[in-house]
Amino acid sequence: MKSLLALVVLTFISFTTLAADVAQVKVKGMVCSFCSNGVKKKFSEFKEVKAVDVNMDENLVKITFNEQQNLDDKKITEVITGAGFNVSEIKR
Amino acid sequence: MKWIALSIFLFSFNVLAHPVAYEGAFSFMSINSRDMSENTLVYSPKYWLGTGVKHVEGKDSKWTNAHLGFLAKRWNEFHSQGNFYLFGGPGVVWNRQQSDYFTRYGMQLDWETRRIYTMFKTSIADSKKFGTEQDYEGRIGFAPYLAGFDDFNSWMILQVTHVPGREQEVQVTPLLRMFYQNVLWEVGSSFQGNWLLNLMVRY
Repeated sequence: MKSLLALVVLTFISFTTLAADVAQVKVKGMVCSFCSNGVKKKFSEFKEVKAVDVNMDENLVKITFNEQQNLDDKKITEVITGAGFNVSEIKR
Repeated sequence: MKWIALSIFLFSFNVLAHPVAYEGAFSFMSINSRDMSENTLVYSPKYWLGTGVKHVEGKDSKWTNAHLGFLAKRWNEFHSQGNFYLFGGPGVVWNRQQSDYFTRYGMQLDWETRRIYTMFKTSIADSKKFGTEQDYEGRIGFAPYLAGFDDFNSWMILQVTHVPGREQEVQVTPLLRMFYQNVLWEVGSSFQGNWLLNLMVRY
């Protein structure tokens, strides 16, 4: 019983960790890829960030983090704003 | 001589894209035509501010000035962005006969989607020896296809410039704009036969 409980807890922790590895950010104003380059460049400078994908069709910036690393919503919003855009929503 | 120098100067007010960039970005812009070449280096400490230096060489005169661009208002929407900029700076102009200080200032309004690009800009150059003159520029552009973030982008742009008092007061220039990642090119020729070759790189 104890083993089963431990397994459930470990599985839950693993899923929680995995879920926190990606942040999907809805961004307003990102209509030109030349001007949106700053978003990718700025996030790529963080050691916590593994990859950055910008989807112009969906106004979406997908940030994949390195294992057990992350950036909080405040920092993500700061970077997007510093690039000249507005954050609409952050999903994790 | 006065209007030639001023016309060269005012022609140099062309901007390839936004006068500011993202925080910490360096932008290098080069605008080249039959009569002049202009090179500008801008650093943006904030996304709403651009600071730098501009150097223009015409047939008969040279201009160097400090550049300050200020984003006064930005409208960010999901499918569009609008901007209102103020820009200007003091500088020095010289030719074989004389030299002088000058100031320039202006404003720019633009609005764009992924398909449509519009821009209007006006500037004033003011020099005691060379006088004062104003120019106007309008642009409308169209993207023939929707490009993704990592794709090669192409735009067809029609540029209209109006400089009162100039020999060719109105010039209409169709341009082809292309950009890929952090490099942007523009190539075109006015209906009066003045070619234009522009480059912009952001680091």
